[in-house]
Amino acid sequence: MKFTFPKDFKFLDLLALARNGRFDPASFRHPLELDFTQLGFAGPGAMACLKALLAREQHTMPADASFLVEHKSQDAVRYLERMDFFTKDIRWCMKPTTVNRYSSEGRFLPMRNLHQLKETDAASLEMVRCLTIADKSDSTAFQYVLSELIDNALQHSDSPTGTFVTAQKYEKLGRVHMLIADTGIGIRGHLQKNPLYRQITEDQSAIQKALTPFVTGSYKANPEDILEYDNQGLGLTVSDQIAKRSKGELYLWTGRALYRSQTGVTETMPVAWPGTVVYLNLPIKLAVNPTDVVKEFDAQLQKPKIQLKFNS
Amino acid sequence: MKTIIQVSKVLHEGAITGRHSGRVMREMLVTACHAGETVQIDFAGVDVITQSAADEFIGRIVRQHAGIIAQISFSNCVTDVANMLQWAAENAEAVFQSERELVPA
Repeated sequence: MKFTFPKDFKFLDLLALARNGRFDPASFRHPLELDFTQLGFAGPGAMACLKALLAREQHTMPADASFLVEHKSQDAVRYLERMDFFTKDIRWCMKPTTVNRYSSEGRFLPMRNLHQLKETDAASLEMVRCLTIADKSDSTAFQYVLSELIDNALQHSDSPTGTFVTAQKYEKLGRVHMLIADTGIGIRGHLQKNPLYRQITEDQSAIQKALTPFVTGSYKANPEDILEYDNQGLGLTVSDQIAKRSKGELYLWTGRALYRSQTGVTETMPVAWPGTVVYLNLPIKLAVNPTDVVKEFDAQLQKPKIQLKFNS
Repeated sequence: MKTIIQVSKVLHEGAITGRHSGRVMREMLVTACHAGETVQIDFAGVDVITQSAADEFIGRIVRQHAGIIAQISFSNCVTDVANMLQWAAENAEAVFQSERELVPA
């Protein structure tokens, strides 16, 4: 399969290609040829999605395949080099002449392929550092939210190739783009592990359910194990609220369903994402304190007085 | 639509003990509530419910599905059972926190 990158290839461009049938994750199969000839601008979200698909394909068919990389735009390819897009399984045809390797801290998080929960803290911290959050508790609160999203992907996606994360700050635009992607069982597959949600058979319903606070597919196999709460079921809900209240955007693509926080609408895509993608486009300075949003839901969790109804 | 769950017929016992029993009750209740029904839990014939069963049943609902509490009512509860259910509901979070603290990091 040959994939020709368009001139601009950001996450929204990827979605546009998927909508009009020019990009289908299911057809991203060996032998692959990546044509960078037209590429002028690459966004981290779209590239990390491709990276996740490449990893899945290499895992499924670790063939002698090498990826043909052609390019003309040194800038775009230098950027991809800095973002760690190219790994040993991607063969260069032309290398960029020079690649400046300066510190990424506070500017971007190169594409990271996470496999273990212990990697979550470092990745979420690097992502948070791309935002300008003065207050320490707000920074911690947002890191907690991102950690929940990454943990979700690592623990519950059953993805054999782990989770891909990346972030990029665009100083002039005043925006930060973040992406967490896996090629696992998707939200529907995860929720169906909980008997309470087994009746959910559509990706659209699964997204709506997953955006409800405290909904999680986590379900203990051993009924005597009281500590099933490895997951609060808050990551997506709080991210959605932060995006909405900050004039940001959250996109959630799982299976054939695509949710967009700005409209609150879940659309049916003509092609399916094999797993889950969470994409956040936020202002560098959030208009809402993440601590306040987390506290709102904590308050729901800790209602002190509940009066049950007893009929005499 | 109103559903009545008769506890003694579901569990075939007059003493509700252990988390497993609580879980069986909870799953029936939550499934009915998510279907939009109001549910009456009939405790006729039940003399005792232990703290762990009550926590697994109603405590966990308070923690995870608090929105459905309004759909639930209880009938024919002896005083001890009613008190234990109410205690489990009010202390759902505290019980959960204390149990977490027992687990080594």
